[in-house]
Amino acid sequence: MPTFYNDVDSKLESTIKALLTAQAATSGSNIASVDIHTGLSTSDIELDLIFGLVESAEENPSGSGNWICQTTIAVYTSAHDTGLATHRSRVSEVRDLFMSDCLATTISDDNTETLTCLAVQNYQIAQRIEDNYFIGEISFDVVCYGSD
Amino acid sequence: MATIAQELASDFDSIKSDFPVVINHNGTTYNGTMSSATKGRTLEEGGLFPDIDAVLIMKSADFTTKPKAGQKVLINSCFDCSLRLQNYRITSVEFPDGAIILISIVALNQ
Repeated sequence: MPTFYNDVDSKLESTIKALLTAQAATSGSNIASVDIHTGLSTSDIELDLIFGLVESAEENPSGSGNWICQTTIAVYTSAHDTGLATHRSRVSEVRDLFMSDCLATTISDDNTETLTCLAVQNYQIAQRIEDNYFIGEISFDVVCYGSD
Repeated sequence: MATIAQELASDFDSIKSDFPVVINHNGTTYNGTMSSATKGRTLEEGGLFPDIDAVLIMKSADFTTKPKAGQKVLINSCFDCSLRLQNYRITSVEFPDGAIILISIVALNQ
């Protein structure tokens, strides 16, 4: 299947999922048992969930092929079944994974997709409660281009 | 002559035998029946959330400890086989007449 140069949003979501999956596989990870999905997904959601969504992307400068991708990682934890302490440990682990100085290099080096990342900036964190879930989010802009 | 309470209990037993549901709550098994269930799936960010709504109808006297909203209940067997062997979340508990208990359930992540 060909990989398309301008499919940066899907490529970035897949790369984020791969980074989260790799983190979940590390010894002692707090997110080891959590389902990890891309933002656009047709997978069934069992209970707790982490997903990476590229909400939008803007080409900048116009015509350059470089995209600023508004990205959100959301951690959904059941308030009834899992609880707040575990939720907080998951959110902090995900924040540490993505609020890293070398994240741009990590995204570029990940071989899930042909994507080159130039910078990651404008971090925001948020938390809320919705439908019996504790939700923790981390949002940031990824400046990247498709490498094919 | 049977009292009204006895007739109601007999009627309920007939419904239970025609439309049986066996649930497990807090480690104890209970027999009852269920209203029609609504089943769907809603696509949201991250994937497909199950969308299930049903009301379990059980005999109140069977419960020494009454179920509470937020607790889980396992449907061991059900005349609707698609609901079997799944855990559900109790969203509300109603005691309409003291004889039966209505337990509203949804999917765990609703």
